[in-house]
Order: sequence, then C-alpha cells, then structure tokens
Amino acid sequence: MKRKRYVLLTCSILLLLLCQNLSAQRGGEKGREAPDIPVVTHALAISNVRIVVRPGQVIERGTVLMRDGLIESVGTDLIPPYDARVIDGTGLTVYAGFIDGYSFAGAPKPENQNDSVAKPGDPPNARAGITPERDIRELLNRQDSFIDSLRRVGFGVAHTAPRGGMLPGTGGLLLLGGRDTNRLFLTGGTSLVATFDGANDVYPATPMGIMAKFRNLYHQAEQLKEQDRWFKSNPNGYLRPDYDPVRSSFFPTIDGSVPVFFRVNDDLEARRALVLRKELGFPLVLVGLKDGRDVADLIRNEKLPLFLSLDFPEAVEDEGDSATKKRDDSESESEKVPPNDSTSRRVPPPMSVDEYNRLSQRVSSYLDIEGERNRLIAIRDESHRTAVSLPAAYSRAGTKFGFSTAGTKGNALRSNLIEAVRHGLPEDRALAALTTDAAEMIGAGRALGTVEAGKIANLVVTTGPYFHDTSKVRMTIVDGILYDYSGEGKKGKGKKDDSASAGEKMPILFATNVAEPIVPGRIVAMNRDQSGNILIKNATVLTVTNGTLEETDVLVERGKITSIGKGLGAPSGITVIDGTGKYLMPGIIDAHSHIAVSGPVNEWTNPVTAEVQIEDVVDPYDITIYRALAGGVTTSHVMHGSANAIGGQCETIKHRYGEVDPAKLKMEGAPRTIKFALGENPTRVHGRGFGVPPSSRMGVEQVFREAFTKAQRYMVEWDRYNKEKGEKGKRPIPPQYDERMEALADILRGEILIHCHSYRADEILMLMRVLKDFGITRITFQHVNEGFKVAKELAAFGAMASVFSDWWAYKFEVYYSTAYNAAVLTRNGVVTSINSDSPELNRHLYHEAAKSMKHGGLTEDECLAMITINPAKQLGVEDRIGSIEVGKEGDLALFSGHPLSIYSQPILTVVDGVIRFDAENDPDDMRLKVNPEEKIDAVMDEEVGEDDGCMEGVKGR
Amino acid sequence: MRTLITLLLFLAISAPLLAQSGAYALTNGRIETVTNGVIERGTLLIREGRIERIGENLAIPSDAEVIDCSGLTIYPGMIDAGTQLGLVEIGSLSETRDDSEMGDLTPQAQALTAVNPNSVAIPVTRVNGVTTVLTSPSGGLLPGTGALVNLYGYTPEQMNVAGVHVLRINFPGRGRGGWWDHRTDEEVEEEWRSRMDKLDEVWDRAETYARIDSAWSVGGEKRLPEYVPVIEALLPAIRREMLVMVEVNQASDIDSAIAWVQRRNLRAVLSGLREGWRCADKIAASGIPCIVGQVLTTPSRGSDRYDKPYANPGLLRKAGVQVALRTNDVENVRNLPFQAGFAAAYGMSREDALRAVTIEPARIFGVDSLLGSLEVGKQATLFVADGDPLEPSTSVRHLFINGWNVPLKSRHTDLYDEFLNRTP
Repeated sequence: MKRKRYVLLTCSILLLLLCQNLSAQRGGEKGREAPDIPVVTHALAISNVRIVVRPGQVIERGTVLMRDGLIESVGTDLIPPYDARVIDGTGLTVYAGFIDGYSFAGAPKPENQNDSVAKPGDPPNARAGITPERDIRELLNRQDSFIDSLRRVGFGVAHTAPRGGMLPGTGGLLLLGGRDTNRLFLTGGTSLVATFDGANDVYPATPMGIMAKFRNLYHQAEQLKEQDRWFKSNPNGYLRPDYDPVRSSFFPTIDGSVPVFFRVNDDLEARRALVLRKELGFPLVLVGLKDGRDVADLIRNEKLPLFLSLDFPEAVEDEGDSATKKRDDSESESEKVPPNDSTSRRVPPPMSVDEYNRLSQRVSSYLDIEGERNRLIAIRDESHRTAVSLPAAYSRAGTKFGFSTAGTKGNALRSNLIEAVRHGLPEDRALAALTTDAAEMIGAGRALGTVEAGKIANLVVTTGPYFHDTSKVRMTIVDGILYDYSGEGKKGKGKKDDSASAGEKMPILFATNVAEPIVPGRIVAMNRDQSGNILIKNATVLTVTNGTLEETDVLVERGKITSIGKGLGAPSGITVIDGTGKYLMPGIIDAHSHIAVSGPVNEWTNPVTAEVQIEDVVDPYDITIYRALAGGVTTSHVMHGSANAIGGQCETIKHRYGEVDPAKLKMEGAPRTIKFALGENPTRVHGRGFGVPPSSRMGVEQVFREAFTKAQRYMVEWDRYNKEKGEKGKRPIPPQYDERMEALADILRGEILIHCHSYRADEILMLMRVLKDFGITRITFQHVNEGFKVAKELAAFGAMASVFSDWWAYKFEVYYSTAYNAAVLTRNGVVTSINSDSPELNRHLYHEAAKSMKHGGLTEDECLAMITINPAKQLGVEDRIGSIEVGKEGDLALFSGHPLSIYSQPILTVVDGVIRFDAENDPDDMRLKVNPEEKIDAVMDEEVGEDDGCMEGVKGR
Repeated sequence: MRTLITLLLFLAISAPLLAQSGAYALTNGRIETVTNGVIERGTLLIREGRIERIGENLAIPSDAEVIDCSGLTIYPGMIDAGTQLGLVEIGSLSETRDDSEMGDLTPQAQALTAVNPNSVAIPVTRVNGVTTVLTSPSGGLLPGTGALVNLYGYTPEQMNVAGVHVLRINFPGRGRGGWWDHRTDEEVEEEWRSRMDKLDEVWDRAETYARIDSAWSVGGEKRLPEYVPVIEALLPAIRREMLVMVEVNQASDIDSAIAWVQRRNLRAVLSGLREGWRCADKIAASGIPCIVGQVLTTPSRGSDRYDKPYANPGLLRKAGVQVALRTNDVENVRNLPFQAGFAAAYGMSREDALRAVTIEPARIFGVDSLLGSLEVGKQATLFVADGDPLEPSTSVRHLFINGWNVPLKSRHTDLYDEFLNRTP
C-alpha cells in the first residue's frame, strides 16, 4: 500500500515537472533567444574578447570556444571552427559564470506549519520542520523568477536547497539555465541543510531546542547506521532496524561525504553550529553569515568553508527630524564639492577612535541631546559600514569564502557585490568568491569556476570590469546556452545603481587598520586592564564571612584574591583604586536570572525538556549584563523558564562583559543546574494551553515520577547492554540513545543541581517527597513564596531557598505571601538568597536585600549574605565566590557608601580582577553590538516592572 | 442562635485591632515638617482628625493620649501620585481587575467606584508610611478618572480626599511596545497620527458640546444638548474644573503633549515621563508639573546610561520642573519611599525627593491645604519612624490617617507573626 502511494506520488511529480518544462519552453526563459528559431549548431565562440581566466589571470584578447555545453578551448590564436556561431567580443570581458553557494533559487516557499497537533512535544517530523529526506531535485520550481535574477547578474550555478525549518532537506547544484531543462541539476544530495529556525509552537521551537534535537537525531542516526551494518553483516537473530527516512538522511554526513550546510545569520549562530560540529564531528559549511565579524578568527583557524550572505542591511537614510536636518545643513556648506565625490554620505568614512572619543561625551542632560543624536547616527552608520565590509574583513583575514544569495533581493545582488568591493574587498577576491573559491568549496572545482577547456560552459560577459557599476552585464552563458541581456538598458541593474553611479571615481575608503568594529562598549573593553591584577586600598571591606574590616586593602592577582590587610604594598604596574571612604563587598550573585540569553528562555512545547541547555544560547552582547554589573552583580544563574515541570539546564555565568565569545562568560567548572517548575505555569502552558497533562498540581507530581522512573529504566537498559556487549556470543542491541534521558539520569546521579520554580507550600512538600523517593538530595527552591510556611520542612530536608524580597499578588499562587519570607526562612535555618528574575531588579539586588532589615529585622551581614555567599552555596560555588577571602576569585563591588543604604551607588565592579564597570570612566553608551538598521528614536514604551520573567518567550499563553 | 453567637464571638476576637480616633500628643519627636523645616525635638498635637498644634514646648492637653516619640521622627504621610491600588487585587486574574473598562473612550469611568477598601494590598502599603495614593484606570485613550484616596476607610467616599478626581489621557505614543513590536517606522507614525486625530476629534466635539451646554445652562431659548456620556465626562476638564493627567513617555511625544495641552488650554499634569530628562527644558518652560515614575526601571534605549531612570527625576528638577513621584504599581506601592531614595541617590536632593512624595503631589492635586506637610490645620495624616523613611532599614512605628491611629498590621505582618515560630 505504502509503496503504491509512493509510486503514484513520484508519477505525479514527474507529470508536474513535465508540464512545467513545457510551459517554460513555450514561454521562453528570460534573456534566452527566441525559441522558435531553430538551433543549427551547438558550437559557440566569443572572439576578440578580454578573458579573465581566473582571478589574476587575464588573456587580454582571445577567443573562447564552447561546444555541447563545455568549454572546448580558450586561446589568443584560436580560430573559431567553421561550424561555430561566432560572437564578436571586441571591447567585452568574459568571466567564468558565478556560483551561488547557498541559494533559494527554484526552492518553493515552505508551507506554513501551524496546524495544532495532539502532542506538541512530539509532533510529526514534517510539522517540526524536520524533513532532511526532502530533495531539492524533487521540489524545484523552474518558474522561480529568482533564477533569472541570478543569471542576469552573471550566476551560472546555484547550490540551491529546500526552504523550511530545522532540517529542510538536501541541496543540489542547479544550472541556472541550459540545453535541457530536465537536466538542470549537476548533482543532488550535495548537502544536508540545517537552520536554527524553530518550529511553530511545537518541539523544537527554539534554538536551544534545535541544538538538543540535532544532537539527539545525530546520535540516534549513528546508532541506526551501526545497527544497519550489523544487520546487513548477519541478519540471523538480529532485530531488523526500522526504516527511518529522517535518521538515515544523516548517514552520508556521518560518513563524511555530505557536509551539513548550516544557515547561520550571526556570530552566535555560527558558534552554535561549530559547537555541534565539535561534539559530533561532521563536515560543516557555514552559509548565510551576515553579522559575523566576531567569528572571523575562529572560522579562519578552523578552515571552515564559508558562504557569506549577500543580503546586506539597508543604509538608514535621513530620519527627517530637526537634528538630522541640522546635520545636513552643516554639510551643505561643503556643497561646492561635487556630489559624486567620496564625501557622499552613502558610504560613511570609518570613524577614528579619536572621533569616537570626541563624540562619546556624557549625555548629562537635555543640553547634550543633539550631540548624542549625532553620535548615535555615527555609531549606527559605522555599524552599517562594518556589516557591508564583512567580506573585506574576511578577505583580509585570509579566509576563503563564497557568497550566498539566500534572502537577498534580486535587484540588490550586483549592487551589493559592488558595495562589498567599495568597502575594501579586492576585486580579485570578490571574483574568487564568486568563482574559484566557491567552486572548490562546493566540490566542483574541476567542473566550474574558471574559463578553461573542459569546464562547463558557464560564462558572464560584461562591457567592462564587473565590479565597476558603469559596466553592464551583456550576456550570460549557462551550459553553453546564451542568455542575452544587452537590449535591456537599465533593467536588471540594482536599484541603487543610480545613486552609485559615482562608484568608479570613489576611492576604496576602508584603508585604515581598524581591526575591530568601532562600537562604544568594545573600545572600553579593549582598553581595560585585562591582567586580572588590581589593588583596592583603604576601603571598608565587608567580607560577609569574616565581618567588616575598616581601612583595609584587598589585592587581586591573576584573578584571585591574594591578600587582605592594611597597608599592602602595590606590586609594580598594578591598577590601584583608592577606596577611602568607600565600601567593598563581594561581587553580588543573582541566583535567578534570564539575562544574556538570545531567543526565548523557554522551550515551552513539552512538560519535560531536560535536554535543552541555556549554555547553547548565551548572548554575550546583551546590554543587561553591563547594567547588572552597574548594580554590583558579577555572577548570574541564567535559567531556563518555568513553562515546563522539568525545564532546561541552566548556566552560571560571570559578567565578563566585553568578551564576545559566549563560552568565555561561562563560570568554568561550576556545577550543572536544571530548572524545574511547579504550579500555575506548567499547568497553564501544558494543561490549559496545549491540552496535555499536567493541568493540576497532582499532575505535576506525576510528571516528575514518570520522568525519573523512565530514566531509571533507561539507565538499567544501558547497564545491561554495556555488560552484554562484552560477553561472547551475545549481539545485544543498544537502547535508543536519548538526550533527555541522559540528562534525567545525570540528575538521578546527583550530577545536576535542581533549582525549582515554586510558590505554594503543598507543592514544595510534594517535590521534596518525590526527590526523597528517588534519592535526590540537592535542591534550591526558587521564588518559594510560601516557603515561610514550611521553613522547618525545608531546613530538615536541607533544601535551600531563593526568594524575591517582596514580590507578591501578581498571580493567585503568590497572594498569601509575605515580604518577611526571607526572614522566616533565615531564622529557621534555611540557606536563603534574594534573587531578581528580572533585568530591572538585578540592578539593585543590594537594595532588595536591604529590605529584609525592615521586613523581619535581619542583620546587615545576614542581608549581605543573601546576595553573596548564600546564592554561591545554592549554585555550588561557595568555595570560589561569595565572600572576600584570600584564595577566592577576585569578584568585587565597590560602593560609594554602605551598600544597604539607599543613598549608596555602586561605582566599580570587578570580575576576576578585571574592571568591568567603572561609573566614573565608562561612557554612557556601552553596547557591544549596534543594529546597522537602528532607528535612533525607537524607544521601548513598556516599563520593565513586576512580571514573571520566567514566562518570557512563551507564545500565546 | 448559638452558632450565631459563637460566630459573633469569634469575629470579635479575631477582628483586627480597630483604628482609634481622638486626641493624641506625639511628644519628644523630631518633626520633619517638609514645608517649615525640622523641629529637632517637639510635640505634635492631633485633635478631631487635624493637626492642632506643632511646637517645641507645648502643653499636653489632659485628654490627649500621649505617644512618646523619643528618638523617632514624625513625617507627613507619603503620597503616591500614580497607582492602581484598590482596583487590582491579583495581577494575572482578570476577574480581580477593575482597572480598565471596555473600549478606547471611557472617560466617564470612575476609579473611585471600583476601589476596594478591603484590598489586602492597602494595609500592606500604609504600614510603610504611604498613606495616600492616586489610583487611576489605565487602558485606552481616555480610560476614565483617577481618584485621590487615603488608605484608611470602609467606603470609597470615606477614603476619597477632598473629592479629587483626575481625568486621565493616555497620550498617543510613538514608542514601541517591546522587542516583539515589529512595526515599521511608517506604521508607527501612521498609527500615532490616527490616534492623535481621534483624540483631537473627540476633544473638538467635546468643546462644541461644552458650548451648547453652557448656552443652555444660561437659559433662554437654547436647546438641551443630546446626552453623550463620553463627552459629558470631559466637560469638567474642558472647563478647567478638573485636572487632566496626560500619560506620556517618549521625548518626542512629550513635546507633542505639551503643545496639545497648551492648545486645549487645560489644567494639566504630565505623568510617566521616562524620557522627561531629554526635554526637561521644554517641560520647565511650559510650567506643567510632572508625575515621574517608575524610577526603578530600565533605560528606555540601549544606548542610555544605566542610571538614567534613576537620574530622571533629579534632572527634571534641576531644569526647574515641579516633580512628584509614583510607583505605577499595585501590590508594591509600599516601595514609594525607595523610588524617592533612588532619585535622591542619583542627583535629586533628599529634600526634593521627600517633597516629591509629600507636598508636591499634594500641590499638584490641589490638596496642599490638607496633606503633604506637617502644618497646623492640616489633616493628621502622618507617620512616626525610627529613621529616615527613604532608608530600607527604617521602620514605621506609628501611623495616623486623617486622625485615625491605624494599627501597623497587614497580611504580611500577620503571616510573619503566625509562621516565624510555627507550631506544630
């Protein structure tokens, strides 16, 4: 039955393709000569033409002879044979046809996947965007106008791939025209395409879900492949492996013969793809990179094939308000300069560091607004320049790359190439990216990329140098077939061509040696003393664990506190901070945070998602890291959200703001932690939202019991397999590998600390009973608003508590709350911390902690402990941070007065001995990344106030 | 019958300590009058709900209950100039929210109608010295009128201070809702323009209506206007009998709002003002007072210095703007003194910060003859604290609202008392 349907399907696809071909031939492809005039020869020669054989190798005047779709010969003294149609190429230049490394040419738009499914946590593969078995050759839309858009700017071949979600399918090399429209694909199955585009409201919906799912599928595919091999070697007595189109699509990749083409938009996505490659060991090609300055070194060192996106950000023009107008007026003074001169605003000159410093003054009051505006525009334009000069930067770094047109508008293709050259990409390198390098990276170097005998007859013929926008593309030859664009005048040119017509006269502006993009926060970060050595003198030191030391010095060397005492000598060259009259406390630790995460913090599609990891989506560019530093906070426990009973794994980060590699923010060696959640959130999302259990607190308990029991059995199965594997005569089949079960097993083994979102007393007691039944001992309850009711039980279990200072009444389960919670818990012997769960509260945790003096009369030291050593204990890092002691890490916060006083300000924050916040010297604008299309006056209206930060990113619930 | 008696007995025993009214002598206290400096050691006499006398060596009336305030300081009750207190009980439960009526134009909706005198959040708020709040509806272009209420009383009328109501306008904004707001600039501008047109259209019609109504009330042959509740509710504002509170946050919108208010010749106060500091000069020049808050919030732009929201009130004050503060909160209005404290830590003088939660809001709402400072003849709405009330280490020891000596109990203290040493 199944087979029958398959045959039927294949037939109908063939029929469809046939119809398309017929119509294509009848209507004629754009640029192609009239199809009703019979063809009399398959030999074509272009004579007297300037031939760019390959980048850097030119025949000034010669002839290219093509026959039957191949280049037959190339030479200066070549005389076209009698049977060739000859085109006089006098005054023209011919290049090898371009290659688009990753393209949507001919790829149909994906269907909207939004039908609801019974189990959003385990949807059908197609619904989840997991269709690696789809082959672009069976999907091709020959009518796609983008094929002509590519061809008319000189492309002859596109590596085109299906569109869709996480694993859209396999790509192939598509000829963008040619003799036989049934044979447009040079090859198929050349790539396994992957993206970080989450599925719509089903698993995996988020980048972190995709990371976990990718690992899971890959490992399972490896298992299946192995099983296949065993079965084929001797099926006798061996369980037949199931046919699985998804997992078996990975086989050629596991073999190393088909690379994963990972579509990555920015640095963080590129790094994620590299993480997967490092863990799983597959051949990887990065495609579509746009915002990728910070991974340039990494990609060069890893020698990764790379296709940069040609989809450049738009230059933001005049925003039409008074400040901009003034700016224009001031420029008009210099209007004697012809508008075609290089001062044209379209390519702003790079800003020098001096210029930046001049502009980076404080915005102290309304008086500075206009200066601020000019600075923001300059920084934004600089960011735009950085984006457009990405190819130039990669070229300078010596990295080979090609281009990807996926997502690029047809009319921007050539103008963007010219922009890239104008921003410093040498023409030779641009040509190589389009021809030789691209051919090599897609494994077609022997068939494509140069104008040499034996290669496929793909050529582009121009009226002059390709990257000069006065030149025009006269014709493109694909597979030996001529596409003539000479009669089209201005059509087919980029929309920017008019304004860019001055291009040839323009010098290449990017001549300075600015290695880093000039973004405010980076300049500061670059200039910080990175040695990890600092001496803070004569401060009132609040050690937290050893009382208060007046007029005391603290010395940090190589990131560690090496000495605490009076009158310490300063090692030579060390940064010295005068702490006279000031208060020094340990860096504040926030045990509950959702800052520094790119994308949603919840993979909300399943009640159990132990396999997803915040580690995969840490965002070092997040300005809220700096703002937290400005509140004295040096460490955050970045948590998965609370949509699921068993959420994802969390990450303890240090606020090393200025580092752009997310791995450098991780607190190395900190214990693994995981988020659990009880009560209203999981029952709302799953029970009332998706219609799957749990919908009550009773159901929540059963989620844990079921998950832990399954994990126990999973462990037993593996133990048995591992035992039998070594026994003679046994051919055991391994249990199916499962990322989720692996994580749950690690919880059972005590390798992952639990941090559980909870409010009500009953549910807190429930979870402690469950944990006891499964032998788990270490847990911190988060929020735990009714913890005060069961403080004795918490203390008896050894559970810890991380609470809000005074949040309540924002939902029913926190209606019977008290701001005295922290005091009751502390007095009953529960290790208690005050957390933020908010990018606003985390800026003043010192103040949040201070409120417990009012609410329950805690001492100053007790209050300070709740934001230092106590959260350190809850994260399992109390031997490293959380107090000022010799041997501990140099995480310190200097305040103008006692940190628990409302009138005190944090003035200096140090992480590992490096100043990361300096109120006096830091500029106002500390961003590390600036959107090149930023609108200067775009403001968020919403106040960040009291809200359950845990539910961020959960769609429609 | 027996059950009824038992029930009554039970209620009598478990009822909260009732507030007492009468004559009180707060002796030996430090008195921060706010408007007339500090009396380092003095006495404040309360009688019939009013401050009878303040001075250093006052004779204690024989009928007065004496409260020794040695080592303590007496302050006027703090006023939060913008909350939803009493209108919302539990944020996420729509059944418990009465802060927003259906529709965009509901100026006839009155917050006072829906203020729940028994909201659990009210005692939680007042025990921190916040005695008076403006509570106002929130959604839509013209969401209704807010009411100034004291946080003690059994009926909304008892709580309402001097019958003060304020018409709220949510001025059309060009700001974005958040990261999920993907509108283009053009869409933002277009939407703003259509909201502005709507506001202007409503106001034009209301002015016409006011003319018809005025003509009719003078008498003669004039026709009675057709009753339109939405428009009727705007008449007091148009006639400058009612204060208009214009909620506006983004700098360019603030400019527009000032121009609009001036063109419409209204008695107005601006509220919100997240970016007020950017156009502080223009606000000062307009002479329009401002209700600023929250102070404890994040900067409105990624490029802003981290402390801009903290510094905002001080920068406005420095430019000469009259500033009151608000929490814009419900359950944590009690943190008003800390909003003032942060303003003081980041550039506002402590004196101005204290004024911004006492006398300035009282002046803005036209009740400075009753509230906002310790002066003879004013309402005895005040508290006694063991330190600076802007400091989190300070506790309130005595609380008077309109002369009632209010017990310092709330759900939060009750739960503390019950569970600190739980048995069993």
